[in-house]
Amino acid sequence: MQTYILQRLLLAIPTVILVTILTFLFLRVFLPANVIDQIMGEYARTDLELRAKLEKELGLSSGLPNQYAEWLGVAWFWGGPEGVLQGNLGESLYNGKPIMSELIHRVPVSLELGLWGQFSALALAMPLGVWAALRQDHWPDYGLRSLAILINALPGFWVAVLLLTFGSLWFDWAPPLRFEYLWDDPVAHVGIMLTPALLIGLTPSGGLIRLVRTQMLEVLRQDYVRTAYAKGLASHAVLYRHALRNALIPVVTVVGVGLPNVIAGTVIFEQIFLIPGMGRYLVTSVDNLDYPVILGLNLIFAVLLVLAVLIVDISYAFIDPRIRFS
Amino acid sequence: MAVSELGGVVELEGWERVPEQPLPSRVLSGILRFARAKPLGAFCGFVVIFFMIIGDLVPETLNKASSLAGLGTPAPYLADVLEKNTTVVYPYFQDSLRDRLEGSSLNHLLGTDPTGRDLFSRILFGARTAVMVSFGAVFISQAIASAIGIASGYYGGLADKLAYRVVDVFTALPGLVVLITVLGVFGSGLWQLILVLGVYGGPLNSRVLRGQTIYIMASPFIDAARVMGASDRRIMLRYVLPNVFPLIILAATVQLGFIVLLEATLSFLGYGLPEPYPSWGRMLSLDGRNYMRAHPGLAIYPGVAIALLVFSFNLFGDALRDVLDPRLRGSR
Repeated sequence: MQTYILQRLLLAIPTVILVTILTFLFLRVFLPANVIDQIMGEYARTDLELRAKLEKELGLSSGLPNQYAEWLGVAWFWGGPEGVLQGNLGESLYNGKPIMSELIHRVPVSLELGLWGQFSALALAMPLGVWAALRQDHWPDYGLRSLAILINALPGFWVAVLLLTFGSLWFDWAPPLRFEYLWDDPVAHVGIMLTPALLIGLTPSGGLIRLVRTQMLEVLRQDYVRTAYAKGLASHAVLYRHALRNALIPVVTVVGVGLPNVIAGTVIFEQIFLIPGMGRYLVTSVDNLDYPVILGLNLIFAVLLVLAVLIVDISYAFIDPRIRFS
Repeated sequence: MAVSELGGVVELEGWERVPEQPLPSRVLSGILRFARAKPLGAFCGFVVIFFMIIGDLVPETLNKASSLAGLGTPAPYLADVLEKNTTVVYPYFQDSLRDRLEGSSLNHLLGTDPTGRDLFSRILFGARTAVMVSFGAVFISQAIASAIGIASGYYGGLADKLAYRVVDVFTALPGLVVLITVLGVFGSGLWQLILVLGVYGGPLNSRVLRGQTIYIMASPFIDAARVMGASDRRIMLRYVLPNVFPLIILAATVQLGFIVLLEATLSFLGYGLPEPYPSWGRMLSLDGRNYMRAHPGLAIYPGVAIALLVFSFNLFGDALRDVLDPRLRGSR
């Protein structure tokens, strides 16, 4: 098991490094507008002294490999400024604050929202999928299969728009405008997070219902399930202890594959429900063309995704011993 | 059937050449067979074609082809015809503040939006955006995917390993975040959307094609081609590509619905086509939230259009897969 975890960790490192190189190159080299010109406006052509000073401050004065080393913090080891490796993502061009101080508040919020979203997807899909499998070729099965196909075609944000419009029209309900952190007001916090979390979970649950159903059907035909019935076990014991546990193994991989969707969900629903997470930060900084923030956020999102997929893969190996030894 | 042997044709006894039907009737009977096997899938296929005609993709292609052949532009754009000949279709940018936020009436079938533009017409023209972006992006994606997939599956070795490190990185990227960044920083528009969505989907779709290429490379006809002295390029284009083509079609139908949803989401967040171009996602955007309470149709109809198009793409793709994929034939 340890070798497997080590192997996976080592494989993740080059991916992360390539991600940093790609995002850095992309946002530094292919920029549509020079950052300095953007900040200085009409003075860019005349005030060369200020220009040189700004370039030095933003770390744009040296060559590209040097800039990359400085941004990443590798240069720190031979006396350069602190970089990503030291936990310094730079400062926002918009308000001059360190990006890290902003992220400390925002990352936990988005992580929590994503976790709840993933959780609600599973909580929706598992019972429904099992129910459809147990009533195969009866009305619940037909209904749930149609529902799953329908969910796959629904844009998640549209459901939110409908909810907001008709919620306020019919029930005078509107999501709260003020955000409360978990440590300030837990009750209000859960009330705010509940709706977006359920909506994030809705989109992936369509595919999950179908998967749980087919897996369950396959497992129910296995010999060991018949044996379990034959030796007189109660049907709930057979279902939950023998069938469901084995049916859920492939579901774990699909959870890993679906993680980018969950991240997309947090970005969309943070925007709709005014939740101050990373997604909203991304949208505002893209609108302000705040390059250091955009660069830092892309990196953090990518690293979080790589880590999450890693965790899913490792837990898959825990559940299914066949993966570890192949 | 005739077997050619060193230039001479030998007729085998008992074999009779089946007379080949002309192409149109073969296509027609193929479609009929598909419709009989998968009625719902065929219906969704017709919905897709309906959207393609509304979205002016079919007339556009016909016109391009016929003007290349020197025949002018015979196929009319449906939306233009409707605009001229009926009273319910208006140009998508025509606003009139006098009748803003109207309900459904004979003049405005689905009512009007906050600046008095006809909602029905905007949904009709919005189909053009959705259809053009999805088909354009899927075409680019599948072209890139088959280039990467076939080449790395064919050459194998170090090139394959390197290419797949990069593809791995693409799968490790959080899609929507990257798309927002690129479109937000570099500006958005029809061609930017098509290009960015297409390039982003390319590496992700190449994996299946690589696997199939490796599988095909073990077949005897590849060895035969090589013995005949066919070049690498010829083998890839004439022997491998036709054999992975069904997979490309399948991946494309799955991707179409996905791209429609993605385009709607990006437009919803404000990274799609700029105003006044109609896009279903943008019509639902939160800027209009206050108006949706006054005229709930604004919140309903564009979403129905998105869902209907994606639903049809998905079901049509499912039916096509059942028919094309030999492993699934006869099963459910």
